[in-house]
Amino acid sequence: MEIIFYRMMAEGPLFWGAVLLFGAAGVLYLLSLRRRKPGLASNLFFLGAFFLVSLYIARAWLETGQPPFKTMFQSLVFLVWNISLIYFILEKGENLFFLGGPTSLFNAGVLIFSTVFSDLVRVNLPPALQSAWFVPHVILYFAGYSFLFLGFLMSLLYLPFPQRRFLGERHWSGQRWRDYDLFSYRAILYGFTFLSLGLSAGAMWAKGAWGAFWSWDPKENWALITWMVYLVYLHMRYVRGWKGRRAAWLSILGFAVVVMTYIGVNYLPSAASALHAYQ
Amino acid sequence: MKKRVVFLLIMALAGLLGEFLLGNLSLNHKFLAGAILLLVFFTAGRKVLSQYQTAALLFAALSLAVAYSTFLSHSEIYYSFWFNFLLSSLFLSVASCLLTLKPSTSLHYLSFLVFHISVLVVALGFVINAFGERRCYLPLHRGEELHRCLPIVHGKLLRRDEAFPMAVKLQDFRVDYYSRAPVLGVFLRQGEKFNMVKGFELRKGRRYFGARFLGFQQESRRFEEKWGKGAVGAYPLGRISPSGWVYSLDAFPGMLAVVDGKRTLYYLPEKEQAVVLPDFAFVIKGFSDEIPGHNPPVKIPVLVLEVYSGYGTAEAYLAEGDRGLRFGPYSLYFSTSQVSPRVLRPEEVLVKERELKFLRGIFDIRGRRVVLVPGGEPFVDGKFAYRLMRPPVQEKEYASLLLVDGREFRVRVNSPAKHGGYTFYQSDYDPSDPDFSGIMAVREPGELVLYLGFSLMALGALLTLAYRRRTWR
Repeated sequence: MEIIFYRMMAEGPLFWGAVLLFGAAGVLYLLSLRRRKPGLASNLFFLGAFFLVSLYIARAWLETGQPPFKTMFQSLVFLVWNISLIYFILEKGENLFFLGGPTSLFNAGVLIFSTVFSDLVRVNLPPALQSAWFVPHVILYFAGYSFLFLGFLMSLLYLPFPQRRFLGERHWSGQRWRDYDLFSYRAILYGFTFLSLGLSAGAMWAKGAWGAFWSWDPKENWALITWMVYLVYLHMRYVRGWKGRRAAWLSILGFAVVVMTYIGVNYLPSAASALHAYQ
Repeated sequence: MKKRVVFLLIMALAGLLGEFLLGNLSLNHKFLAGAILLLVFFTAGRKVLSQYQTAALLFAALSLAVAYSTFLSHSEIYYSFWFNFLLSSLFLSVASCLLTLKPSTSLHYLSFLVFHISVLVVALGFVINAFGERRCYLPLHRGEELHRCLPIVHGKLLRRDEAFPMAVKLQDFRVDYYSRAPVLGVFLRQGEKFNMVKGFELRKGRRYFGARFLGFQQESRRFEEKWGKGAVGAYPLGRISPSGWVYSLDAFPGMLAVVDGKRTLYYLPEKEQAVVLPDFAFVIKGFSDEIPGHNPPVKIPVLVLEVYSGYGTAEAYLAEGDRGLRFGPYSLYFSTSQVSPRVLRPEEVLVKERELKFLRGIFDIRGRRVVLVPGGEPFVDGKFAYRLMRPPVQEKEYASLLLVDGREFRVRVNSPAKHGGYTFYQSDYDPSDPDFSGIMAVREPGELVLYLGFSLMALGALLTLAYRRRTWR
């Protein structure tokens, strides 16, 4: 624990400033639930944290001249950036401020957790990752994961609060009802779209780098499983009319598979020989 | 529901039986048997196969099979009959579902159609590849021409060579490495061990926040000096010369620098080959990746020597960046620094303007002025230790210049070359052999179909989103 503490301390003010602001924004968002609209302070704290994470990523990118998406630590920081951006767009566009509390606190938690995987020395990209496909592939996948996280969050909220709730005054987006099931479905549809785009981009990149579109690598396999789980979710919803609790549980299962794909794969016996493992 | 489950169970049984009965047949025979089996099932249960629930169940079965396979360390499962039968059944089911759709001109139908067709096009691409694909490995040495290659079958490299339809010659091979600028390593004592907390890159005047380390600055001066023939390389390393100067001697992989008053450099000899100098001789016994018995542990290349002198024989360790062994007027330094292996060849050595770099870090650690040199002794302060160190070796790029049927191609990772129906990929290299380059040659007849399939998948996903975005309220 002592070493983790000192590794955390070594991250510097940008990083810890973002953690504190996300934490404060989370508390303020939760308090604003009573007023049925987000307060200015919660928005400012959230945007401040997002700005600091953006600066942190930009600094790492400028220092090395390479996109900082290689290690587990870097990818977790980028995940936080993605979730923040997508959440904020949805908050303003779809009146989803009630997700601000859990999202902000989740972001703060992920940043703290990421220090366990802190990079000890400068990270350089190996030859295989120096490709024009690298940045779009990562961005598409992390955008997908961020939407799927929000979909999971709404499915979790649906289980105890299945009824639609009135959101208050008329929002410019026309969203007056809080319907976790519908929101979850929308987020998953976006997430699935980004996963499909990321999967296609990844296959084309793999062809250029390793000579094969598909190598049955553990990470590729779990990415395929994730894609198939959400494919089944969407088809069951379209064709069989799966909504409500069944859809929520499938969404929760889907996100568990996402976590397995993102983190769990690194601990599989076959990960040692994998092409995609985070270092 | 019951009928569907029974039907799928029979299909699964057929797949497993096929695995058992057809295991030793050739790919063509297996494919034929699988196709007949699928045709039978399609004729008998087209209605069941064209139901979305069936496709969903097959997707679930495939997910389980793929998940199971990731817990295994071998990849045989992906080439088994039952796995491919399951995949084929799934694609057949998707195709059947597609046939049940009523054609329309709506965006909804178009997006649905494109997305589902993309899955089938991808499947078609893989089927075409299964019959016409060829992968093989060309272990090339500089100047060597190969007409044969080692086949790669089911992801495994076979050790029997076979004819390759082209003559492939390695003209040149180059490895570039990342700069290994020194970093300040901060270590924490935990029990008897020192574990690294963080490595900070040196930046003049930059302050780092932490519980125990407040900031530091770097001083760097550059000197230039003309050197004579015999030295080669491009990477500066910190060294202490007998006169007490801190030098950076340009060095190259596996170079042993013997620095005397004249600063003579010697190439690292082959293992077990003796180097005889006027006052002593030594033999390279091997290498290690850690300084033996050093605390805090230091993971750097170490050369193991056996030294013969007038005082007898002794085993000695020479760590990269160490102050070196002293024998009379001589000091020995060891380096594994990285430059293009091409310049390793002594006969190709050019006389270059040598660059000497004076480097030391002056640190302010808890109010104390500490001077550290790369690879020097650590500064220990209570439970913390500080050491100026170099990060591990990391290759930036490796590239080969190939001559294929008389035409020159430059191949590097992520940038293959195409010729005569084959695509040549830079596969790997051997860090211990600067003249070796591993090239993979691939012939994929389904390549264009697969590119089309994945492009359609991306298009279908975007169209689906465009349609749903308009209608979901």
